[in-house]
Amino acid sequence: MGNSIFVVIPAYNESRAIRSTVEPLIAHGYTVVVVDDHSIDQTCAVLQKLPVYYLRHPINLGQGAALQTGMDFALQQEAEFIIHFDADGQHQAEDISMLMEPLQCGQADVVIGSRFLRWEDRQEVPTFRQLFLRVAVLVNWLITGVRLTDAHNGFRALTRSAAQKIYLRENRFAHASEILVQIRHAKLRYVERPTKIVYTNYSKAKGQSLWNAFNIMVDLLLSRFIR
Amino acid sequence: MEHLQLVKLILILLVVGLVFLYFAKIRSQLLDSLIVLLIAGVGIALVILPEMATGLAHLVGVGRGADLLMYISLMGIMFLLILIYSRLRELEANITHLARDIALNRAAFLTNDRKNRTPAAESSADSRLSDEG
Repeated sequence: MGNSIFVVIPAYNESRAIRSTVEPLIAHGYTVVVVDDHSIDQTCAVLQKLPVYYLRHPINLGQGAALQTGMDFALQQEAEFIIHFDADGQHQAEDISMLMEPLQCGQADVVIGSRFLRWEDRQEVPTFRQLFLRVAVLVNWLITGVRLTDAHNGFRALTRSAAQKIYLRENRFAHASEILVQIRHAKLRYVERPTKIVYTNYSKAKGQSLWNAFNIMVDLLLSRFIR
Repeated sequence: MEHLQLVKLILILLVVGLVFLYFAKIRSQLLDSLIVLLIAGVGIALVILPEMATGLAHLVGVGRGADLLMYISLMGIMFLLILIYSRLRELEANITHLARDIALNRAAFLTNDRKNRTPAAESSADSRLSDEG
């Protein structure tokens, strides 16, 4: 069962965290696909001899593009389910089974992780980030028409048929909103499930800045009007 | 005066709306080139016949020819900017496709065991071998 579940991990210069992110996933029996977005550090070297699929972009394209490459590969390899997973260690391998539940019962086509469904998860999120995410939730709702409790949570689970209906054109971070637009257009059934996010100094440094959020919005708005 | 401002605002919104509509729906290679030629043509005509600008300006109710010129150039520049932006996006989409295909073809399973490598990685390794031979 586990090996038809493909965990797609976009990685860009993640040599410090990637191995400890991948190892629990392998232990759980999932098939791991690491998409190296042309890292210039040792991301590939630290993965050597681990039983994972390794793909490398010949140029740096962005997280959205890496996710799409990983999904294309997983579909080629007859994946039944596809998980989006962050490389920096903030998502927990144990949570995947909870995300998979609605898919396996046939209740949903896409499951999206949320930091704001359980009180104890919310406590983990730094105050400023909480405020920032509240605004992002509203903006996402306005732009995509999909109302969630969390924004830019990279932890998602999709069925094979849902993944086939999604094609990310936003190479950079706007893909997180783009995927919601496509979920709505393809009339996919989606639910949220609580996920525990572990904030380390490493993952915080890797996180989105306010300025980046502005770039994401501009990317999204322009792409909606100009093809 | 109040009225005039409102009219101008509506006109501006109309132009912006038209440009977006054009880029979202009507776009074609031929029309792109025609509009660029038109902009260049107007520019050349105004250089050769500067007094024409003043005449035209009076016709549409703008005070001076130089003002009219500025309005037209602003619209032209806006159009070209959006044109270049959308070309860049096309280019980026093409490069993404290429890079993705390369990454998929070179996909590897990271063990030493050759049997475990993916068919895709296998065939690309084979084709590289045959290229050398």
